[in-house]
Amino acid sequence: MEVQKEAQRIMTLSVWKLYHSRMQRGGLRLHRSLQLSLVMRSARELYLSAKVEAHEPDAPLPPARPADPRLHPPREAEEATTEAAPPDGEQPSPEPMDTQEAPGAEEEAAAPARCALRPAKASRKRRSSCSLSDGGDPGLIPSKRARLEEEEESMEADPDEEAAAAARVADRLQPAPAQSEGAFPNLAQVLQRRFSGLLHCSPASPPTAPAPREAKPACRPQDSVLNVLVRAVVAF
Amino acid sequence: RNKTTCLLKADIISTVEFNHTGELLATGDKGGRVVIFQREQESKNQVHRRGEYNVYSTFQSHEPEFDYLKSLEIEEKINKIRWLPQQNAAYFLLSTNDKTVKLWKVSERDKRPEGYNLKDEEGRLRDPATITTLRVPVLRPMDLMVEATPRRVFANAHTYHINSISVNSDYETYMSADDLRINLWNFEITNQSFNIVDIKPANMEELTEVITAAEFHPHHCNTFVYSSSKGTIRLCDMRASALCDRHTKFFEEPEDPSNRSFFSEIISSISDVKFSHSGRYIMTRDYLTVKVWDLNMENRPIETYQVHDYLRSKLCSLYENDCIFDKFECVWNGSDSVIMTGSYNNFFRMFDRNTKRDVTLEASRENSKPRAILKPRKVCVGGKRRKDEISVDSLDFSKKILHTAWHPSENIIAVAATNNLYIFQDKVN
Repeated sequence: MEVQKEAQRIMTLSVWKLYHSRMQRGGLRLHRSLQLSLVMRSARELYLSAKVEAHEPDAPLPPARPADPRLHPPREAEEATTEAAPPDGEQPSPEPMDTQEAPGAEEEAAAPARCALRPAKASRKRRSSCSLSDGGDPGLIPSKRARLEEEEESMEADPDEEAAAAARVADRLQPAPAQSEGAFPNLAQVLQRRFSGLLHCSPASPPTAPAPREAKPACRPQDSVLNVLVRAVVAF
Repeated sequence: RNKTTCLLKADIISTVEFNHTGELLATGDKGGRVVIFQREQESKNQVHRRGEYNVYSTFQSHEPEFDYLKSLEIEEKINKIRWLPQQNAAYFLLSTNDKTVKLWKVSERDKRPEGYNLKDEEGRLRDPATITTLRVPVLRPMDLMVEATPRRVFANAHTYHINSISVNSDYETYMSADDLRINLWNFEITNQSFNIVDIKPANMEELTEVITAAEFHPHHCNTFVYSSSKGTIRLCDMRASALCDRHTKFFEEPEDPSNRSFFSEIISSISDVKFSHSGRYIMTRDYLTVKVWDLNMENRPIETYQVHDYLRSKLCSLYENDCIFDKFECVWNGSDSVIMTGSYNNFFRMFDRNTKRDVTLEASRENSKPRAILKPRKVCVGGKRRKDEISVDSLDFSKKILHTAWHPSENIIAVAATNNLYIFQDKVN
């Protein structure tokens, strides 16, 4: 379980770093993105293998797939998309994420309820995330209208300002819708399933530029920054 | 903390390079500026006072730009400076940011023409009707002025971020390398370049490695090497084919399975590759080690030096604070007998290849009074810490030495510690 938690934490951290690297001056760095996705893939493999071990021994294994890296490295810098492994082979019902900070086990079904808790101004984003939990794709394909609305929202709402700004940036960097269909539902679904339990964490301001700290003997407990990331991601 | 030090990000030094004689030392910073230091002539009166380096010229090499098509800002940070060998009175250097390489001419002016016939003292044209005599301008001495002018701008050839430039031994061409491609340029031609390496996959989703550094052989103008994020080095011969996608030699060390971790892949990424002056060896730097390879042996390095192996158990924390992505450089001394590279806490390390001895030194103001001898430092990895030792947990990871340079023939080193440049010399007997 410890291994699983650690792997999950590193996945979370990697996704956050990947996302944050978009907003750096100079644009997405291919080498950095590749390295982050490699770590994320290693963590994901470890997480999955730890999960399989934790289940009964005769539980069905994920269907065999070609050995190509599931975790697609990010595309060219000008496209600036990040992709996670397709959620194939994962259990149909998401398991509850038990974390120390979450008040309790969370299910995907809680997603619409979560949406309702959001401020009313984030109406477009809320709808997107709800439709995501239903498995619908159209909400993820950005439209011109969505972008305009988000820009208006971002000017008004403070709590969502960062997420909206991030969404604006992400929208601008979107590939053609035909391409994004394959990528974004996967990433968002993976995040939704894996980290839905963390969405109840109190929003903390993400470390914008992680100041180099002295290395500590053990890794620190996880930051509750993921909800900002997920809000931004589902707004795609 | 009592003292607040104002550290401007633009002042952070991003590259350091001696010229071929060691007379000049150039530094580039994140603000796009280049500062050139010149060694003072040794005076006959003070034999024991070695020539010191003083500022010779400062100029703005690159400005921030904006790529409107991709909505991306292009940083002005100078990634690399490389000198051309001196062929006349002027000095020439190449400086590059992420996208554009520039050739700069640095020249001295100590005379000024005066006494123009058609212009007055302020340079304004005189009314032709008032000119009654003929005067030929004469050159009169003036205070020395060093001026830097951009002679060539090599732009729009790189989709990805340039990480290396290298001047060829033919002095007519040079190469620039980004994450996926290497281009060959002629100094005289700015609107064309030859692509000599292209590792971009047809489907970017299959990308597994990128180019991290590249350098020409010091003597053979047809040979160059490039390193990858997977810890491999490829040697290519431009005579073999126009596109050097197929290497002539492939250097890779099999991974030690006992060292495998989450982060094995990223710490094996090579951050710098340098030919020895002799051209017989190459040196590579990855996150924890420096390796020396013999060009004639591809299956493993001939020497491996641990720079800061005590960090191996801290990789998780170093991943969190992004230090694991730091790109350290490495340098040879003039005789290829000593190699040097940087570490954290403003430490830098030197390894003597012959005696197998190594030393850790620190670049800091407190420890560097003029003429003082640097005291070797030691990191305590566990157990009882001795008086002068520093424990791993006390290391300051914000103080990193990524860039160093060694004088081509003398024991003079330049060490960049964030926004400060330290120049150390061998003590005079």
